[in-house]
Amino acid sequence: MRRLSQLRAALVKETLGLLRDKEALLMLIVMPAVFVLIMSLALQDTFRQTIPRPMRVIFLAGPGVGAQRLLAALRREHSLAVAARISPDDRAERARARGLVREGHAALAVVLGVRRHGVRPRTAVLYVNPALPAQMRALGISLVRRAFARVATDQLASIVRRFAPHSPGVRPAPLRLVVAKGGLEGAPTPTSAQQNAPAWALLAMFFLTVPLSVAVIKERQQGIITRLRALPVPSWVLLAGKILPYFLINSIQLLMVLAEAMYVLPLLGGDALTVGHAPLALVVVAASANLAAIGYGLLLATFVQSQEQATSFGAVSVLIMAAIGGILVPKMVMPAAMQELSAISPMSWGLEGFQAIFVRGDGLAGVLPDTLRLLGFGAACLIVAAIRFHRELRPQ
Amino acid sequence: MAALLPRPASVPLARPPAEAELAVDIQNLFGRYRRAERDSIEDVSLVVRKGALLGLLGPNGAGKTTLLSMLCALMRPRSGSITVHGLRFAEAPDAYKDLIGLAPQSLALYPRLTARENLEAFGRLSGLSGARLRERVAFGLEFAGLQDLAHRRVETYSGGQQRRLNLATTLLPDPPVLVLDEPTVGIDPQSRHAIHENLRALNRAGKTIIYTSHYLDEVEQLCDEIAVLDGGRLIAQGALGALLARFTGNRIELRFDPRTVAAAADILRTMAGVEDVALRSPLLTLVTDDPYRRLPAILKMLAHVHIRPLSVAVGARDLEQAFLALTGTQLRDGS
Repeated sequence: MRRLSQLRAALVKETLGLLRDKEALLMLIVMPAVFVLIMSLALQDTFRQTIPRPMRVIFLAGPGVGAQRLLAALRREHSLAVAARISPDDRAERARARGLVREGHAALAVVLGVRRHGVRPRTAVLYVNPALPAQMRALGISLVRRAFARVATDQLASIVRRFAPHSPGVRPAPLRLVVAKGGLEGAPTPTSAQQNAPAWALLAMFFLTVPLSVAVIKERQQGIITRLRALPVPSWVLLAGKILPYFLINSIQLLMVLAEAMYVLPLLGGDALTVGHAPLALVVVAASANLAAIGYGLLLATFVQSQEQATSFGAVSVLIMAAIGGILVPKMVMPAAMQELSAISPMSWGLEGFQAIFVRGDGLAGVLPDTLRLLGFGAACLIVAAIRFHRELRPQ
Repeated sequence: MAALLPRPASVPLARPPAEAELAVDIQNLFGRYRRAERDSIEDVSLVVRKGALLGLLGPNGAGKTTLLSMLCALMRPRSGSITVHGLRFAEAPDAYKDLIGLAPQSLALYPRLTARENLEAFGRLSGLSGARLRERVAFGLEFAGLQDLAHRRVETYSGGQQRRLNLATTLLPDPPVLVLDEPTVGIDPQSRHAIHENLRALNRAGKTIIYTSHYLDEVEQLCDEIAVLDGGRLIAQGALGALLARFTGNRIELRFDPRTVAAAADILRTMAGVEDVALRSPLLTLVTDDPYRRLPAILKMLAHVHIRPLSVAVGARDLEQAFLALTGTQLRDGS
């Protein structure tokens, strides 16, 4: 009973303190709301036209002259960065290639050698990342088609040189391209809102690091920690008191940003945000990102020694995470190495999770990997922060 | 300024009270901060009887805050023991903390919360709830004289109002022992007077109060017992009257022309019966075994070398002089 009363006090004081901190509210709620509007509208057309150079393409084929020719033709396209794997036709490899495209690690995958019932010519299947903007997708498909056409033309020319005009019955090598149907091809393409709304909401979530760590520093500087240490109150109560209000503020912020992108943005001429059909997955991703952000904020708060350190290191570290994680610059316009690097940013995990729901229509299973990464990061930060906070409060 | 007064040995000024009368019993305490090379508290034994109003004095860096930190279980002693009302921290941490109310030197309040919200928050965190919490919050507002301002944020209060609220917050759980670290620093005389009156009333009601301040005049007015720390050691403890009697009756203060004061000091240092000579130009403060008997000889010796003091005063006047006699006049760094 005593602990519950103490927990209530910790929650109330933190919540009131946060709600009356105009600068923090400006940063946590108003900033993302404004940025989502501005960035979504400003980048709407640019976003659609963005063409990454080069696009990553996975080429998977069995051994053979045709495959080698096709690979060479693809590699002649400067806008494509081709990673090739030549191996006997194998379902696992195909599934892997398909998965890499689906998860956004490559823009396209060309799988040669798939046997399709009733299709006589040798067929290559092209998997396209559904998250690609429409123009990029069109460009990618067109480049692959051009490579195919080049192979066919070369083969034809070779045949003509060799046999014509004495072998009129010889046909060009049967090679044609079909774009895969189903889950990948039919998925909606992302809009500027689908990039910017979750991106800026995540940035604001992680920006709570600044007000949260400043609040802890102020408690130290104002002697409040000293008073708290002299009271019979355990550290977990005080820590829980800090987590819940910020969780609440972040959740409100996210809801506001999503609502704004869904209902206000179209009124201003922007693309409306479509949020998919998996509310449970959305809640899980949002809660995981929220906990990761709060964990990071508390961790930082236990390390920094002054408000200047809290504001400068907190803001800079969050901005770096955002820059790497595809928040400030969409991942698809990054070079391949940067895209690989983005996997280390928790904000990237959050963005991937939201876009899996918004763009690919994934459910809980689809967002599980990113959710687990976020929860793991958040839990690790919280555990370290809790240990350090407990050490700070106990007799030194 | 050079230190001219050597530090006296510890001066036990009162017979220790019986165990059952003790609010605080500190025995052979040593304390050291992490990564520090030496102890901040060295072999301190201090007893505070129930209902005492003890002034804990010491220059900057003397170890006052360290001692109070260990008493309030903020810092672990390196060795030695502390009991409060017969209880050690390790035996029952929560119960031990319930016995002590700490008012930190800084204003330990949430500036964006109102006075009532601060009192409610710290009251609950102290373990109060329900009717008892409401009763104590009302008491706290009355104690701080903030009933009419209870719904204003603390950041809008004056320094005196904040100090009073800081003290009222300490009183919420009604602990028998109050530890007040510089509770009147930086406030106006009216607020200081109000705090003193309240503390006297609390003391009359049976609270044990340990009070630190650099305002020695207010300690002299308020406290009935004094403990003096210096260099991490307890160098005096006892009743205020006894301390003053020990250190205020043996002093002669002479004022000279600044051109002659140094020569006068050199001469008087060699004189029999003069224990210490402190030079703060144009003043010389002498510690002697018997000021009235020594004074004629001192004046005669000075006249012999044609040095005449501009004024003469015999006997120290207050706690500050006793404090300087105990701790010396050298400037101290740190806190």
